[in-house]
Parts: sequence; structure tokens; C-alpha cells
Amino acid sequence: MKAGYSCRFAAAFAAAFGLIVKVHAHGFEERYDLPLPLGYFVAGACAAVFLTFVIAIAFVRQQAGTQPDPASRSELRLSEPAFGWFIYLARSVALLLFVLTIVAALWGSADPLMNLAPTFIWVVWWVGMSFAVMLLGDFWPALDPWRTCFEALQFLARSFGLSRDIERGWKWPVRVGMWPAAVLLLAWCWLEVVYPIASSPLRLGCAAVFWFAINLTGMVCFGRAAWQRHADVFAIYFATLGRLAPVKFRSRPPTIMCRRLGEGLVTPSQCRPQGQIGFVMAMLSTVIFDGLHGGAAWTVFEQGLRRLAPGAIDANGYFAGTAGLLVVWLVFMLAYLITCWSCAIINASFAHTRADIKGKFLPALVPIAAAYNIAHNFSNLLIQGQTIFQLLSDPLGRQWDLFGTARFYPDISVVDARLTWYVAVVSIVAGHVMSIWLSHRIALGLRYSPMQTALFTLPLTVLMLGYTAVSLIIIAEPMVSFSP
Amino acid sequence: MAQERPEKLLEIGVINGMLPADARLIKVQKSDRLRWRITSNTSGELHLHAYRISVRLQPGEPGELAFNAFATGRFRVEWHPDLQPPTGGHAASPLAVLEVQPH
Repeated sequence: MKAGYSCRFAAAFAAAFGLIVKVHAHGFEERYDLPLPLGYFVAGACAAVFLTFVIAIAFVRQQAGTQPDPASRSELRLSEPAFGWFIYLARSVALLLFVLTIVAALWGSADPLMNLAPTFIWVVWWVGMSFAVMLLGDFWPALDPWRTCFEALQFLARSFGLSRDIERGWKWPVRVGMWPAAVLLLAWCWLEVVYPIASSPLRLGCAAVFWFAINLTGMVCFGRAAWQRHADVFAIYFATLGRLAPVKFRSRPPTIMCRRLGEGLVTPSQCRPQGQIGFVMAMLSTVIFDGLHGGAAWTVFEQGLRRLAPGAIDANGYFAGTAGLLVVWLVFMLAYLITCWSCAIINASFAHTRADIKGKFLPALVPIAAAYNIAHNFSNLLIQGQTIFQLLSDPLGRQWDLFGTARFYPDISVVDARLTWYVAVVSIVAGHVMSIWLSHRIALGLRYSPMQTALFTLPLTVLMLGYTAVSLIIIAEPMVSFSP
Repeated sequence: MAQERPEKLLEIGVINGMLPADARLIKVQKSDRLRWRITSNTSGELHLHAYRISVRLQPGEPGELAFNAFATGRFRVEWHPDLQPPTGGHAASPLAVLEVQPH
């Protein structure tokens, strides 16, 4: 009886999403015959982006500059003990969920749809947390279970008098900069899209334990702060997206600061390590790669690759996937570098070098990364994310019903294909519009006249137009074209 | 009150767990009321992904699925023959695909 129920239940679960192999942020395919040809949408979106450029030239003035407008922010000071307890609670809950996820991954059901780990990691945490920090600011440090473990270790070491400080204090090599985080972000995307461990709870659990070891070792060797600024891919990812949010947190003294949307990206950050460009480009390109992978353009890419390197193609598509991931990332890098190079050539008389331009305008691209993320994952988070209620009641897939929600079934009609499409279009346009607006603010902050600023941001605008068109086409492709 | 849509009737004839190529894509609009009359020359179960509805069929005993296309998207219509032990997984290609378009 029980086995029969379990089998039926597994089938129902599988039926929910038709994702036997891929459990991560991909729900069922949405289909929508657009009310207008796709070209109209692309033209309209590009027109909106270009219009922003024109309006920015006319209206964004020096007074804004890179200095945050004091009137745009207000502060809320929190009481120290209450804040402390709140953080303590948040960390405990996050740590508990972290342990539960690892336990489920290592000892739970091998069926990805019956196990908490894949859905929790890919949908609730990776996508959900990204959305949350974009809106509410980077509160990941208050949850980060790796950080909690490290600090607990430090506390224990001090309590037992083993060592004054477990941080070894090795100096982080300046030349290495943020490149490890960029490589890790690409690797993370590779695990999600190319290599099929995403849906194997056990392998996912092993990867989490492996990362736990690396992360803690890194913190011990280089110091937590230095490690998290340069190599902790998740801390950097959430912190980067969090700069977009209209809220910022400060822990000492505990304060919540409100600011304009995107203000945090114009504020110059204290450190701009090497390799930041690689990281931001990975943020953009990984989402686009995920959209491309498996689509119509992907088939063309695979055929091209087969012609170029017939021996290297494997049946699982690992080679093509890896090559594709790197190619998309390199194309994004190259497009941005060419843009910066054009800026430097057009404005040869200005004092700023190409390297300077490269770093200064990078934060302006973060809204685009956020937009791609929303466009790509919005419906999956809302539909597939619902299965977490079911999985929390039975995290290991053992027929438990801890909270009475084990039979909860997602409402698959909360988001329809039309809404998905318009959310994608609006977020992509808004992301690029914001990006252009921010690059004007940044250029004005370099003390250029409005005319010089216009010249300066012209190549960036061309880049934005390209990004807008390409991203819309890639997001639309699976929805609007499919042959059964 | 919106007028209730007329019911759309579809005959589905499964032969050896397969459908003819031109019957493998079923396109409907959101909120359509659907009624599928299904026959099969082998015994098994037909189920529609995500909508979580299924019907058992025996040769010579047609089954029926009546439902409202309330959610948009592409949904796999799967055939699970009785002769093959259930593996929890599905064949690479579904019996058919139901495509529900928004208005």
C-alpha cells in the first residue's frame, strides 16, 4: 500500500514538471504566440533604450555626479540588543536549513523531485535569494552558513585558548584579484546547465561538502573578509546584486539605510579588485547561456563545433556545453572590452585610460544581470518554488509529513505564459534603461561636460542596444518557436 | 459573467503506445473545456503532466478525460504500458504534447 502510494506520488511529482533530468530552475516550457511579431518587441525595446540615452543627455546633470544625493536616503537606527538577537535567530535558522539540505542530499531519496536539496539549492536559494537581495539589499551575510561556521570555529578556538585568531593572515595576491570568484561562477553555471549533477542529490551534497571545506580553508588562510571579497562566489554574487537594491544594511551600529534604486552602484566602492570584469561578465553571460543551451541556436552551435572538432564531441554534450559556456562569456567580455576601447579612442583627449573606463562603468552593468535573472527565472521561482512546502514536510523523501504539507501541490496557474513574457520584456528594458542612466551618472562624476558625457557613453549605448536585442531574442526563443 | 466556452471534444487513438505524427501536438487556449475520448489497443495508463490527471485503459474499453485548461504551457501526455514495470521515469519522447496558449 505504502509502496504503491510512494510510486504514485513520485509519478505525480514527476508529472508536475516533466523534469526527470533537470530539476533546477527550469519548469515546464511556456508557450506564447506573441500578439505582435518578435521584431516589433525588439525594435520597441531598443527604441526605449536609445530614448533613455537621449533623455539622459538632456536631463542628467553634474549635480548628481557620483556623490549620493543625501536627500535620497534615510536611515533607521536599530536597537543593538534586539538586532543582535535577530541576527542570531536568522543565522540559526539558516544554519539549520543548510544542515538539513546537506543531510537530505547525502542521505535522502535519490529521486531529485522527492529530495529537498535540489529544489532548495537551485530554486529557493539560488534564484530566490538573488531576487530577494535585488529588492531588499544584501542580507546574505546575516544568513551565510559558511560564515556562521567559520565564526563559530573562531569563537570555539578562542574559548578553548587554542589560538588567538584562527585566521592565518596570508596576503591575497593582488594579481589574482576576483578571478577565482569569476571562474567559480562559471563552474557553478556549468554544474547547473552542462554537467548533470544538478539533479543528483548525492552528488550535489558532495559538491556542497567540498565547497564547505574549500570555503572554510580559504577563510582560515586568507582571513574571512579577504576570502569573501575575492573568492567566495556566492557572497560576491549576492553583494553585487544587493548594490542595486534601495536598501542597505550596516551592522555597526545596526542601521537600515534607504536609497534610490541603483544608487549603490553609482557610489564608488572602496575596492575594485582585478577580475571584477570577469565576474560581472559571468553574471550576464551565464543566464544568457542557460537560455541558449538546448535552444535552436544551440543546435547550430553544436553542428559548427562538430565540423570544427569532430573528435572532441561526446554523446553527453559536455564538451559542447563547456565550450558554449566559455564562448558566450568571452563574447560578452570582448564586446565590453571593445566598447571601452572605443570610448578611449573617441575620447582620446580625456584623461581617463581604457583600464580606468573598464572598471568605472562595470557597476552600470549590474542592473542588466539582474534583469536577465528576473526574465529567465521569474515563472520558475513562482511555480516550481512552491514545491518547497511539500519538500519541507518530507525533506528526505521518506513519506514523512512534518508540517502537514507533504501533499501540497503547486498551483501551476499562478503565472501564465503571457505574464512571463511581459515580465521578461519589462525587466530587460528596465535593466538596460537603468544601466544607461547609471553610466551617464558615472561619466558625469568623472567631471565631463554633458557633451563629452554623451560622446563618452555613446559606445556603451550601442553595446546596450545589442544586449537588449540579443537577450530578448534568446529569452523569447523557447516560447515562440518550437517544432514538435 | 463570461459565457461558458463550448466543450472541445478530441478522439485519441493510441496504437501500441504511439500516436500518429499529426496527432502529437494538441493546441488549445487557456480556459478551454476539454474532453478527450481515448482508446488503446494495449492496456496501460495515460497521464497528463502537471495537470495531474490520468486514466487507465484496456483494449476495447475506452476512457475519458474531461478537464479545464487552466494553466498555460507545454505539458507532456505520457503513456505507461502495463507490460513494462514502472521505473518512475518517462520515455524520452512523450505520447503527445498539450500546448495551452494564453489569450
